[in-house]
Amino acid sequence: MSFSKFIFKSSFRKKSATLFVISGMTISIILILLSGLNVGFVREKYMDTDFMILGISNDNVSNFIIMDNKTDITLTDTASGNGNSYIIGKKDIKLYVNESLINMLKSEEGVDGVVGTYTTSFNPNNNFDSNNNNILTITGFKSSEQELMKINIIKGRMFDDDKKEIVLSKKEMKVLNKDVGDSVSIANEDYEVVGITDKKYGESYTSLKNVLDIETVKQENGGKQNNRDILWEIHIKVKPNYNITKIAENIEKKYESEEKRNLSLHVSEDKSTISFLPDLTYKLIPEFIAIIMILIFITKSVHDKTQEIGLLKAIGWKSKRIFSMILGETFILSICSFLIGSITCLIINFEIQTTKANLNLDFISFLQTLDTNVFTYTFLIVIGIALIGGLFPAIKASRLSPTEALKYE
Amino acid sequence: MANIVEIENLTKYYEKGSVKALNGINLTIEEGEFVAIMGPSGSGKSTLLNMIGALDRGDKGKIIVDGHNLLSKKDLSTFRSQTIGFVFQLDNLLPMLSSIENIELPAYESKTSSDEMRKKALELLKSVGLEDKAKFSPVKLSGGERQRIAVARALINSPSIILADEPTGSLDSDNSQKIIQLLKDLHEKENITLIIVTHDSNVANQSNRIINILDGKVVNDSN
Ligand SMILES: Nc1ncnc2c1ncn2[C@@H]1O[C@H](COP(=O)(O)OP(=O)(O)OP(=O)(O)O)[C@@H](O)[C@H]1O
Ligand SMILES: [Mg+2]
Repeated sequence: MSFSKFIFKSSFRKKSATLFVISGMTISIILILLSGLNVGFVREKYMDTDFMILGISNDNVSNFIIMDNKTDITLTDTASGNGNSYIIGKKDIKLYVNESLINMLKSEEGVDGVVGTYTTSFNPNNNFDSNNNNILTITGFKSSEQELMKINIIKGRMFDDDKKEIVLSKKEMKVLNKDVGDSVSIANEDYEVVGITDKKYGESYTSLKNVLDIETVKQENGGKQNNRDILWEIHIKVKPNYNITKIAENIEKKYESEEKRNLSLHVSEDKSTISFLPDLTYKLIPEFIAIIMILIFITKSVHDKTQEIGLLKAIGWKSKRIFSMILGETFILSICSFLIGSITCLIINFEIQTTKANLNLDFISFLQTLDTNVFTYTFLIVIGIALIGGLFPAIKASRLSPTEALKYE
Repeated sequence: MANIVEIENLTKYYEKGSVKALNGINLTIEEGEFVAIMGPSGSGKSTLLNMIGALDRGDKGKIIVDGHNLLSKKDLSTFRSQTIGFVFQLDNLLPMLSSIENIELPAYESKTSSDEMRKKALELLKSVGLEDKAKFSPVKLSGGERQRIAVARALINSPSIILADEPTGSLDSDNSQKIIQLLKDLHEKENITLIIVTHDSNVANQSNRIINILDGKVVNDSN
């Protein structure tokens, strides 16, 4: 029998012991995965998804300051209605932001990126459900800004600025009963649907966005608006470690005086980071518990092998081979637990997301929206911790003389 | 003939010196001898056997086995795997492996391919009369059968010395005799040095030499 086959067999040496370790580790892994995935889920409960159209969001990866051309009354409404944001600035001033402002803002201290967007509503001449959402809201921006806008394409691709192409949100694709390759007609023009966008769990910004290139949107709306240079929103991404409120205040002060007009700044912040424990702690508590659990289970399982290790030493096995056996077994147990844990977690999460959050998702598209990083990191954490947990009792056992180890109970 | 075991004034103390398990052993064993070690419980028989098999280190004195100075040698695992075949009182077989896989265990350290390993293990299984039980787990074997598997396991690396610590201690007289006969045959055919610790005078009487131990010292040597 080859040594690797031996390791494999040896991993499942005692049914009850193996079951014990695998179930302990599986529970820990589910804990890590759920906490990783559900930080996004918790946020989502505090963010009304329709609100995304205003693009008001600030999670730990991107800080957006949003300026727009609406009166503050509109902003206050949205903000108070959702309780997610607060407003600094004047309350009674109308603000127009134009494209020249973008370049100026780009050079401000602490600003990482600036995107100008233009949002308008269309009534598509299709069988759009008029009882429900009778208007298709479309946001235009340059397709190169996909990343800053956090547009998550789950099928197809991003639109091309120079072609008559559009990306629709998953939700509206369902309402319109369209798929990639079909066309929708907006203001008497046909657009090919080239991609579907959907929210990634944990990201609250771009979920239900229908996107088209900015020039087209502006043009389509040209009749209504007399100044084509006007943007609907400017989204500013703030560099990490910069204070978002301070930057907002600076911008407000500066452009108020220079442009000789008042600015209304809408700084948004995610409520979960304000009223809950700091995000990191919230995330780390379950992970910390899970890591301790993994350590305990693996340590116990290796410790229980002390007698076996004594026998193998007595018949002439070198410490190196004993270590490879222990590490190999730990690896196999971790992978089994990870697979069982991941599948369980996916099913649990699917249930939560679809029933509680009322999302209309089938399992496959649910999988597509998942943040695969959570799984990768969890896998690396689990393997790392388990190997460390296995190493210490293995070193201890290999230091005992075979006679002592053989007597071990 | 050459001495395969040379022991001079070997001591092994436990519990900070309050237990003198070996208290100045002097002993030489020649290559190809069949030696029985006897003595009351707690006299130090197992301790002595463990010293010869390098399962534990002595404190003082000198112990040279097959040319290896065991008190100063750093890596004992190679010595254990190449020179010694150990048969324990309890067979110590691993229950998740089949009989044949248990026999193969020591061979991982001897650079044999898994095919060669299997071939050799099958031969040994045949020589202990259990070729039909190759795929059985030790859990499904009788005590005597398990001990025969343990003997086969001790032989897979072709050791020059077999050490057996009461290999028949848990067996009835029929099964005991089978095990002893097996070891005796080996000793006669292959000229393997055989050292057995036993309480059983029937077993001891089949050896060439009986050494009696008391309180960690050799008190009588039939040589
Ligand atoms: N690990 C240990 N720690 C402390 N004392 C020990 C240890 N191993 C053996 N001893 C002591 O050393 C003495 C000799 O033990 P040993 O096992 O060699 O006896 P034995 O002759 O094999 O006895 P038995 O016939 O009962 O197997 C005993 O007094 C025992 O208590
Ligand atoms: Mg003993």
